[in-house]
Amino acid sequence: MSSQALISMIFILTFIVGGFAFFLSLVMKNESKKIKQ
Amino acid sequence: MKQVEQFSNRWGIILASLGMAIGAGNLWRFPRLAGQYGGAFLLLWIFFLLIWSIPLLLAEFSIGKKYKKGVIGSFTMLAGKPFTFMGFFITICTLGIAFYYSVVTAWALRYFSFSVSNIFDEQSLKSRLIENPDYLHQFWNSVSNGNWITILLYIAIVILGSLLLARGVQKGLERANKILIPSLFVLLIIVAIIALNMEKGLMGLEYMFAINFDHFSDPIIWIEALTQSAWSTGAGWGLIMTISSYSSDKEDVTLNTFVGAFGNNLASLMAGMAILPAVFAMAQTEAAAISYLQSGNQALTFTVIPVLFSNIQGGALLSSVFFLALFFAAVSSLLAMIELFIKNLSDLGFSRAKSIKNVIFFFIIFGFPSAYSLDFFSNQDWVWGVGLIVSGLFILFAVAKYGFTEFKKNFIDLDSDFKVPSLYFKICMTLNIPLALFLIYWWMSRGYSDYPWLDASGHWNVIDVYSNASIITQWIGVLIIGLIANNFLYRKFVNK
Repeated sequence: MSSQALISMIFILTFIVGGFAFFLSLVMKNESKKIKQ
Repeated sequence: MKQVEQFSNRWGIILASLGMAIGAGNLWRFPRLAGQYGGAFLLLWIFFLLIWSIPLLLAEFSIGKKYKKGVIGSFTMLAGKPFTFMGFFITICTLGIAFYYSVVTAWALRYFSFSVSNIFDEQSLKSRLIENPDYLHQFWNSVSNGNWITILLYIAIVILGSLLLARGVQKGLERANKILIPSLFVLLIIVAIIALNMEKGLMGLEYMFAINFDHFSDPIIWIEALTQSAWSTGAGWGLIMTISSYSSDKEDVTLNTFVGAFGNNLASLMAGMAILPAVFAMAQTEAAAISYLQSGNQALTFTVIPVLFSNIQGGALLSSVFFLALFFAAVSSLLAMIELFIKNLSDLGFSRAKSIKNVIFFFIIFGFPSAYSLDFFSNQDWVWGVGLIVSGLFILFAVAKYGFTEFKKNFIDLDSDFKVPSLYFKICMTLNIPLALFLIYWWMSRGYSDYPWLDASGHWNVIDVYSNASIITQWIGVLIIGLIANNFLYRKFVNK
């Protein structure tokens, strides 16, 4: 696998997987806050 | 006051959004485009997720949440009485897709059973293909044209899906998605792990992620990236508007939309990382793999995947896992489409039980021609697939009429902990109007028919599967019916 493809893969996966994990973590944080209240 | 049913919690609505969005397009169309155009396509696909799909989904989610009605009712309450026909068009367009989509679900189930039977068959699929290289094409032609097993299967799927939804949103849709979505992700991970461990499997990843900068100057890749994002996320379908009508009054529009949109794209990436390595690992040569990817149509899923998997040890099992994943993805989207129909009927005052009976009746009547004839199926795919851009345009129009900034403040931001910048929303929505108009022009100019408007003898070419005349006739037919019935629809759906 070329280094260009590898960098592109890391960038795209980080953006999509990271974005999904980030927004999901915000939802989980909000939900746990609601439960505590 | 009548209690409106809601999802039991936030996860219910998030899973329903994911179920609605993740469908057959993620499992086949996306890998094909990603393999064909590589990293350049992926970057543009992410770009259009941010500028087209997410703003439209934010608008749809917030409209459904605010008005708590089906698409016709919710849309009209925002756009105003004279524009009820636009809500009618959006509904008919999505139902037009739903009727033939139920047939795709039947195909996926048929191929799942075909793959399972190959596991236990004494004669392997590979040896059968050596005896008769056209075996899979013949099987595909028999499955997709006037095959009674396919017809019975699609009727059974419609009845079972409708009966599942008869139990209500919480016990039906929510419970089904709790099983379907996690199972789908697990199945995709299994296929990806097996495919990536094949010899030459990594070559698929190279094709998927390597960026060829020359591709950016090709307009087709921009259009493909936009349409893939729009159709895959469900932006402009009215489905998320239906799902959000069952949300609580305090539901966070922004965060839920972002989780659904990014989750959909994650499923697409996983499908790409499963299918592309398998294509390259199985093909005799690199050129053969690329030629597989570049000749894509609906049939490819069903004629290529079994061939690819027939070449490896345990390929029949892998093929079964793939078609089970495809079936789950298709069912989860179909359930959202059926719910759109139920919600509109409920707005007319039908009980849920009576709505279900009507849904089953209409799906069987209008889905039958697509189950019986592949030409009819392709025509409907062409007409209503492109029609989604018109639906998106109508939603943009309704939001523009209200005012982009005001809309964001009063609809989207109201209960959202996470807020997107107003400038982002305004620029994207404004830009999307000329983009939608251009897309309609582009799709029609790209028509596959030799006679897009008039046939060889100079008559209006309405019968042709891929003609623009067929598109325009069906669109205008629905719009005229909507315009004539505009005030009647308004009274029935809004001002009861």
